[in-house]
Amino acid sequence: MPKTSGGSSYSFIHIALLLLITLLARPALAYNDSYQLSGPDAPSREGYFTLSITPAPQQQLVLQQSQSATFDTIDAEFRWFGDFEQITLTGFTDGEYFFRLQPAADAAEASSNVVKVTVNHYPRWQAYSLFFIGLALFILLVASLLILRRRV
Amino acid sequence: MNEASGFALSSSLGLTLVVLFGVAWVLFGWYLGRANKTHEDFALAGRNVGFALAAATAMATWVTSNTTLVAPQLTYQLGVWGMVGYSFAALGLILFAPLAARIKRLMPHGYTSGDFIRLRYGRLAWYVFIAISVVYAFGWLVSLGMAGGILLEALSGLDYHIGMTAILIICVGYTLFGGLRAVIATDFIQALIIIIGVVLIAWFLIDTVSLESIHSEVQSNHPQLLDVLFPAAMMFLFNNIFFGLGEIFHSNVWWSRALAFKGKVAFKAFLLGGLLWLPIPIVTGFIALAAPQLGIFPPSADMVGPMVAAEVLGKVGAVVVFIVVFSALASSLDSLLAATSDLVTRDIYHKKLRPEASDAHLLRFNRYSILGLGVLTWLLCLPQIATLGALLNFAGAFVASTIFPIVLGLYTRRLPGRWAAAAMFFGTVLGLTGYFVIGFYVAALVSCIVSATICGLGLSFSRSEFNWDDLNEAEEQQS
Repeated sequence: MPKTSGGSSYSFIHIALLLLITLLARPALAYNDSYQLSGPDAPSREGYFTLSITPAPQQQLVLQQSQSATFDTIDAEFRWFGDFEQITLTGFTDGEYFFRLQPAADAAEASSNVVKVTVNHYPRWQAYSLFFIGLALFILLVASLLILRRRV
Repeated sequence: MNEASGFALSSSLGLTLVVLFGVAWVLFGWYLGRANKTHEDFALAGRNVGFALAAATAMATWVTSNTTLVAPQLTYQLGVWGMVGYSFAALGLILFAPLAARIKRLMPHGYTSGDFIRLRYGRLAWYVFIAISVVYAFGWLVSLGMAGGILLEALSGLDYHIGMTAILIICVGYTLFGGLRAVIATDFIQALIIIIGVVLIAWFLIDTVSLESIHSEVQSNHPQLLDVLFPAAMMFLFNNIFFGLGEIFHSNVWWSRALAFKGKVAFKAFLLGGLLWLPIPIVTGFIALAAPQLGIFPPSADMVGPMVAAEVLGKVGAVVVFIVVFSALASSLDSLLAATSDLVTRDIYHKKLRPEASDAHLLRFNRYSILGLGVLTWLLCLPQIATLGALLNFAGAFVASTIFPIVLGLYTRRLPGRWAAAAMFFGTVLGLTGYFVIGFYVAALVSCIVSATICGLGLSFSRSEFNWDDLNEAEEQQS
């Protein structure tokens, strides 16, 4: 049965080669349909952040935002500008947000991985403290200027 | 990328505008520079600048990448507070008005802010001050060069390096030929272009996208931008004010103007310049709030202003935006090149290395300094290392430490040099520590608090009295 066995290994090699050829023969555009989306590693403290993609877009893309990882509901969509590899989004309140890319013309199929961004603003006490310290120092400066100017 | 991909101008039109703009300014600089006979003419425009030119140059120089690119950036990031907070930087010009009058009175023949620190506080404080000035000058120069590259890239897709190189060549060119006289004259024209252009852009924007629709879009999808208690924005507010005050109070850009203005013009000129400047960041910042409504989400926050304006106004609008922003950048870049080269020529070369240098020699060296600064700035701009906002906030830790030493040095006899040096040094070090450990929004604030505390201690402990006449040193220059 060595012949049969040999025939079997030939068939396996043929199938493997065929698979390899099929894989390699996929049109170049098919690779461009898939983008790697990445976001900030740490939570955003200011409510704005930048998302990046690789490779640079070759077609018009839309960035979708949802509050669920499965994108049951799309909360907002953002047009990706030109062939830039980054987009800066802003004005987010505290929470977790999920993003993915889609081709502008075909809304049915996702073109990228899903990225989670956490927004966690600075605590109010920290903001008020710095604000009032700044205000006190500013009053001191203006008062010093006015008083010293009168003296000379 | 081409226009179909979203850019308002084609790369070739962008490049053509740069070349036309550049040739016009350089020829104008050369024409004005023919009147420069001495180093004083070149560095201080003969100390004879009248009120209209003085107010225009104060306003135009302060309208820079800060107002045309960073104000929209901060509005896009921090909302309404970013816009309003940024306009408070006008306080720098307004509060400098009395200081300018005092500077002119105390040092009628002075040249630079470095001169004042050296004569008032001595060598140690001078070394600290020069280090701060150099870091700040390069931070600002690099941010301006970067802004030129970002502007062209945002409007036409032209490579960042081309725009950055172009603006540096143009500004170095006409400053080299014309000195401060050319800088102030071009500032006057640039101020007119900026005011008219900004008003036009805002008018068309409100006409195209209504205020109601902008408000509704921002409130629905970017609510944090309208929050008056936005934590990061509240923390940013006074930090930004002290940064602006530090920039103006210490920089030779403003001291050289105070010394160049005729008679008692300085006070009124800086006051009017500040008041004219105040609404400009509100207008340029407001442009950024329209971005979400227009579906514009920029790659980098500092590109939002030109992108929105170009989207609303189309190709003609993009040309207007280009001219306005390029004028704003040029009006600051030329001033900074002139002022920093004066500092290098006067404070370092003349006072430290060649006290016997002739006037013609100093004039020649001043021009070499401008050229050298231009080349160094170009090298530092090559890697686009940070956003404009981040770059500027880093410099805040340095300049805010100079506020109290400058104010107290101009008005009191009692603050000694070692205390002033310690105030600037420790203010900067702890401001930088705050920048890296806490965040950008405390750098200038911490720096100023530390510096003010040390100055206060210096005033309490010191019994020495400075003699104001020591500020007027005899010139050693040979003709």
